[in-house]
This record gives sequence, C-alpha cells and structure tokens, in this order.
Amino acid sequence: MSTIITVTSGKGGVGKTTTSASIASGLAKAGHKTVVIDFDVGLRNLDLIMNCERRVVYDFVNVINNEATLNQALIKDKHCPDLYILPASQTRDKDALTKEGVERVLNELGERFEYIVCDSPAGIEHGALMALYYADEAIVVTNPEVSSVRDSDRILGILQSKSRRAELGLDPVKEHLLLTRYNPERVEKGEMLAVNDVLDILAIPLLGVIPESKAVLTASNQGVPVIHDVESDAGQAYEDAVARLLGEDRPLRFTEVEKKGFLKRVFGGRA
Amino acid sequence: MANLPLRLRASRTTLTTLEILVADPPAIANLLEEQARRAPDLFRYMPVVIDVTAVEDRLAPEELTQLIQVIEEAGLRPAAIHATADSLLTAIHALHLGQISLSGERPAATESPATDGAPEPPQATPAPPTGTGIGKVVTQPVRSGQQIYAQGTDLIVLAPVSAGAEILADGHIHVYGPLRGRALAGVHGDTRARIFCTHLEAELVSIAGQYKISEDLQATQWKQPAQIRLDEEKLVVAAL
Repeated sequence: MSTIITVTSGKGGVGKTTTSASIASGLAKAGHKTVVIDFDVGLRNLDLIMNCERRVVYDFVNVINNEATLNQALIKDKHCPDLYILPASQTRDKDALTKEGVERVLNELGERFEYIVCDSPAGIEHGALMALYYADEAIVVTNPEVSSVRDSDRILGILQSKSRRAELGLDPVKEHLLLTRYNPERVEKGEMLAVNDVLDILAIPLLGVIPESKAVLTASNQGVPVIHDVESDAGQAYEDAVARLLGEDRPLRFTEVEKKGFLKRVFGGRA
Repeated sequence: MANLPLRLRASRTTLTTLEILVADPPAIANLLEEQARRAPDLFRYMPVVIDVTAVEDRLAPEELTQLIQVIEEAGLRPAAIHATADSLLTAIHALHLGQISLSGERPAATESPATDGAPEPPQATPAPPTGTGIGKVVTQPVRSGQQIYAQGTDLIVLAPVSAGAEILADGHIHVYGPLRGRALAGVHGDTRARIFCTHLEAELVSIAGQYKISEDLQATQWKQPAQIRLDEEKLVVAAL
C-alpha cells in the first residue's frame, strides 16, 4: 500500500516545490521507492528544481489523456536511484486534471511506489483540490507571517471537508505543519511570528522548521534539492523533517538565535 | 394490513416561522437578500412556515403569491402558510402549499384529510429554538472559510475557531478553545441566547442581530474567559 503525501499551503511562494523536491529526495535517500508529481499544470517548476527540464518529453496530462504510458512520462532522478519525477504540462491548464484521470494515475503509481508526493499549486481552486483530494497525509507549508498562516488554516479546513477521506468518512488526512523561511533573529525582534504562535493558531503537529537560508536559493538555481546540501542548515532541517515523517523523534534545530562565541563578541559578527 | 405502503402518524416537527409584519415584497426581498449575503448557507433550502395573520386583512391574493416568490428566491422553502382569511385560500392552494392555523382551530379548507373521527393530531407548533434538542457538538477545529450552523439548537465547539471562520446557532454558543472567528447566537432573533467562550479573541460577536466587532471588544475580557449576553438591546461582555 502506498502513501500519498500532498504538499500544500494555499498561499503561493512559501516553498511548496522546494519542500516537495527535498521531502521526496529525502524519502528516496532513506531507501523508499518514491515518485513526486507536479500538479501545477501550466506553471511547471518542479522539473527545474530537480534539474530534469531538458528530459521532459511526456507529462502528467499526457498520461491522464492516455497519450503516453507512465513509463514514457516518468523521469528518473539523477541523485537518487529510488526517485522518479512525473512532470506537469506547461502548455495546458488545470482543467486537464480530471478526478477519474488523477485517480487512475495514482492507482497505477501506487503499485510501484511506496510514497507518492504531490506538489500542489497555490490557491484553493481546481488544481489544488485535485492535488489534495486523494491525500493520505498533508504537509502544510507555512511562512511565519499572518497571511500565510490564514491561508494554511483555510487549506486545512478544505482538507478536512473536501478530500476523499473526508467525503467517504474514512480516517482524516494526517496533517503536518512545516514552517519555512524561519528567521530566529527576526522573531526575536518581533518582525516574524514565533513557532509557538503559529502552532497556537493552526493547532496541528509540527513536522519541522526550515530556517531562512541562502542555500535554498542556490540549490533551486542549480537544480539540486537543498536536502542534498548536507552542510547547510536548511538541508539538515529537511533531513530532520523526513526522519520525523518516517516516525523518528528528533529535537528541533535552528529555531533559536545563535549565541555568539567569545571571538565573535570581540571581533563582531563578521569575524 | 401489515404490509400497507404507508401509515399516518401524528408528529411534531419544529419549523422556523417567518412572520410577515408589513406586506411589502420588495422590502422583504432586500432584507432576505442581505441576510443571505451575510450567511449564505443559512437560508438554503430551509423549510419555513409563513405567518401572514398580522397582515391578512389587507393582503390581496396576488400579493401573497408575490411574497412567496421573493421568499423562495432567497433560498427558503415555504412549507405551509399560516392564515385564517378565506380570501387567501385559493391563492394558497394555487401555490401548492399547505394551510395551517397555529391557534388550534381547524383550517378553513373543507378537504382536510378524513381521520375517521379520530382525535385531531396536534398542530405543528413551532417551538422557540433555544432549549429544543441537545445541541450540536463540534470537536474538530473550525477553520478559516468554514461555516457551521446549529439550526434550532445550541452549538458547542471543543476546538479553536479560527479567524475567518463563522459559527452560528439559533440558541447559545459555547466555545472551549480560542474564539478568533465570528460567533452569532440567536440568529433567528432569540434575545435570550448567549455566547460563552474560554478565550475571547473574536472578529465579531452577535446576539439576535446586535453585534460588536473586535475593536469594540478589546476593553473587557479580551483573550480571557467571557460570556456575552443581550441586556435591553445592548451587548454585555462579562467575565465567565
């Protein structure tokens, strides 16, 4: 039985695709056969983050329309032998995603993969609804600011009312909060919401906190998911999040302001 | 006899009554539209009894037809008309609606179902909403964009109510968790309804149409346990 994990947020630009790429890579690194699907039809991005844009021939919509087989559309990841990517179509729109078509493709993928990671588009319209409809678990990506938190709250309501699990009265979709672009210095200055403020409002379990980091942008531009950058704080934080997703208990990191050492205090922060 | 396809049973169902105080269809249409805008799901397919006894002496049959039309357009489903004037009977029948009289007298209609001398079943008397039923209990968080309505009863929420969410009840509202959204108690005009919450941080609270927004709530019990009640048309916030 495969597990369908949808990465969603409501709001755009909070780090859904970055998260999808890193979580899927992390699961594959841990030895699980994983596929990551780009649901953002018309605004294809995942292939760039995963550095496979030059290998896209057929896409998700082709498979839904029976114009290509899954084998023709799936792209093998360069870094992890257990990871495949199903890219979105750039020339179509989200109406091309039909409930029946998506279900057929997910069922077929479920026979081959342990984890199916769905990278949701922003918004609460058809594309986002299709990405979350079949979810078993949801990673809600949130930035520590009020509008992102409000939109995450909205998407949580939709998960619990419009998903397949909700409609059929099954066990509810398992929710995880992933706080991204977290900057402890700015939290201390009161410019950003603290972890606990967000948890207080959303009231769902915390999967991880990803610090604001230059490594994320670098990784995106190079097409290497940031989880492969094991030296970076963001990469390590994603590593922790994947471990927690797989049931491991790990303490939170990168949520406190780093104490400056003696030398730094003497010579200033730039030493 | 045991395999009859149906049976007649005396029953008592609580229905909301729409009391027409001024027979002015355009004004009523405006009012209903405004209410429907504020709470779109509240009126959808809600069965109602239309009480026209206050205006029936001056009500022409065609005005009644017009009235029912605007009520249906607002999403409500008239089930029966409460009227005693014979002049309206033909219009009521033409609208395919039932006629009832709440004071217990027999309807003027001659073709009332024959009950073979059996005692007349009790008339469907709409009881006041509060106190009927045991209340609606919600255990999941009420998220932004969600709306929950406890029709004809109280609403008890055992989870947070997020900003941008809306909870409504004909009776009281209890929230055991942060109340950050909108809470409207006594939405059908029951001024006895109250709101109780363990953590008042609401965007808006309202009882029987009297409301206060968060700006006006900051002074008392903000982020603390509170109860809100109506005292002579004024909302009073007090410690719980």
